[in-house]
Formats: sequence, C-alpha cells, structure tokens
Amino acid sequence: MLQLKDLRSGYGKVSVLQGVNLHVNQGEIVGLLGKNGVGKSTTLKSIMGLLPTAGGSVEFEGLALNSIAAHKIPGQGIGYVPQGRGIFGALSVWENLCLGLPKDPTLEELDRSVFSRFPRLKERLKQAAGTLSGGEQQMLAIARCIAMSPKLILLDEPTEGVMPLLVKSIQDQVKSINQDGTAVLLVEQNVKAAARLCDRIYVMEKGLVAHELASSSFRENPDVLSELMGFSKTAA
Amino acid sequence: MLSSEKNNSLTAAPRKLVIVLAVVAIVFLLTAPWVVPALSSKFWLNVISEMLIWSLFAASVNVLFGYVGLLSFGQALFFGLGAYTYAITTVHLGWGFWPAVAACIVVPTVGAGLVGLFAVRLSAHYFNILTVIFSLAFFYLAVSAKEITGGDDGLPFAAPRAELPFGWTIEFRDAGVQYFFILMVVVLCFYLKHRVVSSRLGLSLTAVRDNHLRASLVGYNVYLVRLSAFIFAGFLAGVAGMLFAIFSRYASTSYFYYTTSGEGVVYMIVGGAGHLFGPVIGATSVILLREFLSAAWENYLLVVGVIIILCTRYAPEGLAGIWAAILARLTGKGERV
Repeated sequence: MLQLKDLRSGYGKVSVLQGVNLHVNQGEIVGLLGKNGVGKSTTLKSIMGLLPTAGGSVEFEGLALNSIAAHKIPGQGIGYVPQGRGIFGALSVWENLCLGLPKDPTLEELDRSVFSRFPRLKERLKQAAGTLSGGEQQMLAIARCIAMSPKLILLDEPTEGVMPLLVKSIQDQVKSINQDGTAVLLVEQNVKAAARLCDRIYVMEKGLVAHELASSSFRENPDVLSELMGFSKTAA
Repeated sequence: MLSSEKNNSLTAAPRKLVIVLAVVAIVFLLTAPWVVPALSSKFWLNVISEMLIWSLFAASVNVLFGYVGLLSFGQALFFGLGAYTYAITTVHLGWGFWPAVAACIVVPTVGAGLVGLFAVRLSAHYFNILTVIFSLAFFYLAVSAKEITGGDDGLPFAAPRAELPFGWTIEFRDAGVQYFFILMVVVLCFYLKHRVVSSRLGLSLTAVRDNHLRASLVGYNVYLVRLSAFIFAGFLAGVAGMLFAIFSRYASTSYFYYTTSGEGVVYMIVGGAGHLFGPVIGATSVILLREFLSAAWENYLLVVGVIIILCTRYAPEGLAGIWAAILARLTGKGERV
C-alpha cells in the first residue's frame, strides 16, 4: 500500500535521504531501524510531506503523496505519531481526540476505538494534555491517530522516554492495532521490541536502506539486527 | 467540552461567585444610563461606551494572538476601514444608517480577506511587520486622499438617526440610547466570538496556535485556519471602528496608524490573551487608569507602560489569568485556567 522509490530528501541544502526504497503491505508491521542520524525520522517526515522531496516518489495506494499538500495526507488514511509525541498540550484529552475528525465523536465511538485500548485516557478526558505523564501523552498521541481510523500508521519511536512500566503496554497496543487491520511503519531503536513486533525490518545506513529482513531471519535471533546496525549486542 | 476557551477560562472557578459577579455586571450595564449619571456625571457613561468599543477592538487582536498565535500590529487598518466606511457612505454618498452599517461590516471583512491572503502566509515577526506595513500604507493613503477622507482633519458628521419599523427611531444624540446600541452590538459580537472559539473552528485555531506543524499532521490546512481567524478579527475590528466613529461623530486618519493597533495589543495583554473576557478586563482597567491618572499626572502613560512590562513578565495570561488562577486555588482545582 505504501511504496517509496528512490526517495531523496533532506533539510534545505543538507541531503539526508540518498534514495530510499521500501514498501509496506496491507496488514504488516514494518520496522525501520538504524543508528541515530541515518534518516529514519526523515523518511517518515518525507512521507508526511513535512519535508520537500528532492527526487524519487512516495506512493500510497497508487496516489503520489509528494504531489499533495501535507495537510491532505492524513485524509488519505495515513496517521503519524512523531517523535516527542506531538500532542497539543494546551488542549484537553478530549479535544486532542476530536482534532482532525470530520465531526465530534460520541463517547461510545471512542469507547470502541480508543478507550478499549487506552482506558487511562477516559479517566482524564478534561485534563490538559500537557499535564499527562510521558507514557500517557504517548498513549494519547497514538489514540488520536487511531481515532481517525487510518489504514497506515507511521510511529516514530513510540516508547522513547516512556517509563518501563508502560513500554510493554504501548507495544502490545501497537500489535493489537495492527491485528485490527491497520498497517504500521515503525521507527524503533529498541531492537528487541522491533524484533518482537515486526513482520519485516529495513535497516538504514547513511540515508539508504542497506538491508531488508523477513521475520524468519530475526525473530529467533535479534542479535542479527544489532550486528547489521553495528552494535555489538542486542539493546535491552 | 470542545472549546479550548472552556479549558483555559473560568470553568475551574467557583460557579456561584462567577454567577454573582456576572449578574452584578449585567445589572450594572443595563442600568448604567440611569445609575451612572445619578452617582457622578454623564461623562462616565461615555467612558463606559468607550470601554465597550475598545474591548471589542482588543477582542479582534485576541482572536489572532490569543487563539491562533498571530500578533497583529495592523488591526488599526480594519478599525479605520470600519470608521471611514461609515463616514464616507453617510457624508459623501448620502446613505442611510442601516446601509452604512451593512457596508461597515462588509468592507473591513473583505479587506481583511484580501490582506490576509498575503499576511497569514507569514509567521512571527514577518507577520507583525507586514500587518504594520499594510496599516501604514492605508494611513498615508488616507492622509493624501484629503478630498475623500478629510486628510489630517478627518471627516466629521452629524449624530446618526436610525429608522426602525413602525416609525420608531434610534436617536444617537441621546447618550443613553447610543450607549445601549453600542452595548447591544458589542454583546452580539462577543457572543459570536464565543460561538466561534467554542466551535470546531475554534479547536483548529488553538491547534494551529499550539503547533502549526502538528496541526497540519492531523489534517488542518494551517493557511485556511489562519485566514479564517484573520477575516473574523478584521470583522470585529471593523465593527469596533464603526462604533467608535458613530460614538465620536468623526472618522480620523489616525485610526489607521499603528498606535491604534498598539492600544488593542495593550488591552489584550493586560486583560489576558486567549481569555474570552480578557479584552474587556484589559480595556476597562487601562481606560479607568487613564481617566484617573491623566487628571493627576500628565505622564500617566509611563504607569501604563510599567503595568504592561509587569504583566508580560509576571502574568503572561493577564488579569483574567490571575483572576482565574486565584479562584482555582481557592477551590483547590488544579485544572489549567
């Protein structure tokens, strides 16, 4: 459903992506791994139209995304949870969940799609989002994304800076969202978590996809991923 | 639950106290034409009218800065357009009161749409500067077009008289009638503002103010959201300009000058950006201060300046923010005010 062909992009004159090729099929969780600065987040930002592409193409269900404005991309069925959560701190939890929806949802609608996964948010509906804990903010960021019923979610390090108690819960919800039919493109530093969640993994180096691995090659032995990323042993 | 305003205004305050104060304010406003002259003089009724008008003007600045994060120093342009549209249509074109009022709504609103097409593409100081430039351009244009605008002398006109059905009329010569007309228009505009900021558009305004990049990631067209706010703010400033012209029987080219915009910004900062009634509190406080201090000390503006510095340093949400915070503390509620 998502296809990146020879994607080149960067920040102004600084070129980061040197020709990225990857694809995400319907119903998959695809991981994007690599050391810091190799272009993982830049890839997601380029898909979402936040960075102008210098070459190549981004296609989603046959539609060229790099020819449409950034604000029209969520409407095509792509949700994005950026690094650092990307919630609206001054708005309440409820207001955050209403953002981007064509009309106000009912509590029952959100019960089904959001609160069944993140019941803690229902207890904090009127609370300003900026006052939630880090883990709850991450939950809200994902919840806001799934409230829009996307076909594909781009997750940029969803467990970064989240207390260990909540990490497993967030990972479980990512799996559960995927099992309900939403494809996921996951940027992750945690190799073990990526190995557990993903059906396929791309390892990036210097703005390029250097390796593509099927789950059979890393599920049992995540150290393969660490070696490909240049780490001596698997990160916790 | 939708509105950001509900989140950051007085909902955390004890409801009873708010209701009592609201009732006192409403009773005072409805009886002012009789109570105020009885207690002091008619002069103060005019001061209250002026406060209402400047509250509306500050509300237009507040829509842009408080809700969508754009600080405009060019709202004087739409204030001036409102004032001059009334003066020109009645003096030069001989229009009646209601057609002139309709024109005063249309012209600044369309003007804001045209200026906004360019201005809202920019952010931060680029936006500030462009809005000032537009305002100054119209100021110099108005000064040079002396035959139409009266130039430096402005354009005076007689007290209006508005025809109503069944042979009734509104005589603006009567200070009480004029006051009620101004009060009604300002209340309607504030109600409209309340509806806008409580709507889904209001939610998108706050989302764009918080982070325009994130707002676009949830599907908002940031440009259109900002343009909508700019047009609405232009409408409010235009109506304020019209009211001020009617109130003072005069349209002055100085209304286009950036110092007029500055007044709106000051009232908003002192009152509290992002609070529905912040502009009312700000305009009321500063104008009262001006009336009392100016009689005692000619350099009273220094005091106003110090208050603004103190507000921006210690109370970025202005007097409305302080008030809401005190009430929230009294009730022990920790929600953001």
